[in-house]
Amino acid sequence: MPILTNLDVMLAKRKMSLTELSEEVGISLANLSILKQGKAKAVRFSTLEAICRVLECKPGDILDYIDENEK
Amino acid sequence: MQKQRLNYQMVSVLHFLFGLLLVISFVSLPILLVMSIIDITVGEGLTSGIAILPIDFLLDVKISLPHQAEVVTALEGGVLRLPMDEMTLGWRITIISQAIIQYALGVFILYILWSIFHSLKVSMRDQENVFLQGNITRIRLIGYIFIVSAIVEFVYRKIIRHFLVDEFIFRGEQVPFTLKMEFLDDILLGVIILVIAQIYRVGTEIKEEQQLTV
Repeated sequence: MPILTNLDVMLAKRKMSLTELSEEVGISLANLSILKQGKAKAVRFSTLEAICRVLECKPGDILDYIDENEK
Repeated sequence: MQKQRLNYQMVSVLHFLFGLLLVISFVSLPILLVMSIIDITVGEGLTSGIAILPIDFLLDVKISLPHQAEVVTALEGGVLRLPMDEMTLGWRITIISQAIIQYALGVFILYILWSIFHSLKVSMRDQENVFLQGNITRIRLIGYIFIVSAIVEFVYRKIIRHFLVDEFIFRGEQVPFTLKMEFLDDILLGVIILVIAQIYRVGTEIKEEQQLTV
């Protein structure tokens, strides 16, 4: 998938665990785990907004795009 | 919540009913096989006693009307009743083997239906998801079985018509006839079920995408 998530990088920067993030944003640990592992097929804006609010970052800090042809 | 509980209960009831039918079918199958073997070898007519085959008469009948006009019409078809104990060995093997194959296909369909409702029951208990990958294959299999059953019926009737029936005498006259080929309903049903399987597959993909939407 060309869209990559850097959630683990942001969690390390904010010194927060996935469980803590799950409690703060109100999203299940299972769903956040899917996002972190890059298995998610779509992300709701409401989810992105909640994560960015808690981690005090922009969407671009969590999401990245890599062209598969360049890879 | 009430609706979810009702759905689960309905699925549970259907699961139980199909399980019961399956057990009865499995118990009956060996009995049917034993009786069929006795039928074929001894010719006692234990299984059904008679074979009934629907036929179309190809008989033109002239009807005289008051003003000497004539109308030619065809009689409606009927049924060919063949007592088992008057059949030759070839007839008995043909009729009984067809019945066993059709019965086995029917039992297999029952098993697949029971499997579908079993998987739905387990899934609905845990996560309320009715779109399961395994059920796509099961529904498709039911569709293919209906089509195969229709083909088996067609082949057997062709065998009976061309190899087992020499002539048909009606009121002292040799009459041409054909066996009714009523298998088109089964083929149509099989195709409809395959379409349903395709719709179910799309539903499963949509559900999977929804589950992976964070």
